[in-house]
Amino acid sequence: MQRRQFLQGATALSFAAAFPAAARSEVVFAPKPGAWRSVDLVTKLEIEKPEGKIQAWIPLPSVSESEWMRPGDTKWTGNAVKVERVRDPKYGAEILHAIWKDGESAPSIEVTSRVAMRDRDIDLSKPGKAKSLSDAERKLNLEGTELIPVDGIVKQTSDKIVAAANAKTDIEKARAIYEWVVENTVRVASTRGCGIGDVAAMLKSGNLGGKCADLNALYVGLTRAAGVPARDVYGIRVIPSQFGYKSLGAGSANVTKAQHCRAEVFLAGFGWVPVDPADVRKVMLEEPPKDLPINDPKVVAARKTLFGAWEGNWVAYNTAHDVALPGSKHPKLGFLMYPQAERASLLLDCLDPDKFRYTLTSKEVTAS
Amino acid sequence: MHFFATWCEPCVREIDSLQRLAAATRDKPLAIIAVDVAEVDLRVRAFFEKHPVDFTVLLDRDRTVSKAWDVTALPTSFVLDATLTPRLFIEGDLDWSSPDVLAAIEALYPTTGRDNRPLSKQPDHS
Repeated sequence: MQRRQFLQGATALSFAAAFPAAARSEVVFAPKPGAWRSVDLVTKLEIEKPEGKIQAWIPLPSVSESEWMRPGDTKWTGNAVKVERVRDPKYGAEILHAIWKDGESAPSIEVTSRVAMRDRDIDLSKPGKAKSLSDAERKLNLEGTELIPVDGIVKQTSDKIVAAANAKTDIEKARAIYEWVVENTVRVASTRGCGIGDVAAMLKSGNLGGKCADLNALYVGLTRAAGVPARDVYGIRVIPSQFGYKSLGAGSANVTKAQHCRAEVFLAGFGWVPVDPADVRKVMLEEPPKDLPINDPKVVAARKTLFGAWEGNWVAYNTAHDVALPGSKHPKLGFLMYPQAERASLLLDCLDPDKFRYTLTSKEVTAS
Repeated sequence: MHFFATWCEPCVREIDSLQRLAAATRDKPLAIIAVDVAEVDLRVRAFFEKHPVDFTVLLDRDRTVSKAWDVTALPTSFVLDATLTPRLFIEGDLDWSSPDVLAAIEALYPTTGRDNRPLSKQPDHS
């Protein structure tokens, strides 16, 4: 593998200047905070070939934002001998931890979480009086993690992007990095799950391909290295896109493989702003008729919208990194977006739901 | 010493190449040790059930070993001589069964009476 030249001379041109009139978007992709939509997200887990001690950890919707994400009740049924909700002290990620008795022949659990969601759209031309970050929150969202360092090659790359764009303010830096990620990365269909998110490895190898947990982690790392707080938000798509984007919504009620990591950047006067450069690359790769060029109207519309807005068709689990599974000796996980389970102290493959075994389904709940 | 992960496409390609190396050096004084970085045991086992190999596979579950070897990209390989001094360093995938590579490895085999001290303490990089 040759080290690729990962900077392709991208600059943060203004969006309007970057594309000719012929590519002006005629596609409407305009999420607006309107009606709330609620879903019941059901995780059903049955451990195959049980032996030894069996325990499982199911991520729960833990992001509570009055304007766009309201987790409701979580209920469960099953034959575990102990089930408890555990909260990660650093990020507030909630996990349902289930333990079965030794020798349980058919360990199973079904967890139902109700969540209400709404579109987000931040008018970045009108700064308001959004609450500022506390010192602790700022530190948390600027520091490096195991897989997202903010020094070394990440810092060097971030500095080059910011300098090339002549970005001075936080919003200019955040946007310059967003455009760079859109232009210089690629979604790779064969990446398992959502990717790993090893940002330094991606930059060092020059292989900027992957899926959402890779590409949005890259955005977060570069943005943090530029001194602007940013975070990944790990979650799952639960309903289709209202704007007809097949690649940006759940295709059916079965959302077992619909996990998706989004991102946010904190901008003074605006608060946490939604961004999703990974989904721009997903539109390019997967939106019919597939393999769309960057100036396709559907891509142009997505690129414009996904800096500052996103649809409320996705449930946010958490913003956690380096997650320890309570009661397990397994090393920390880079992120928690999938059910996890252990059988005889060996962690099962969470990216193989058919063998594990688990399913996730989503059903929209209509207010009566 | 070969650091890899099953999610890494070039790594998956290289596993076959390493197996060819193992076959070509079966009676030679060479040990191949593949170190999987930060994956769950069962995933790695399932992978090698589909891609059986004749060399040792170890698990670096928490990246302690890969960090100690300063591995920052996958795949990465080190070839050590008979004194366990790193002599060759490869970042990226390689055709381990190519004549040039086999010759480079053969040059590191211990021979009776030959001075096996490394020419320098720094490994050759490629």
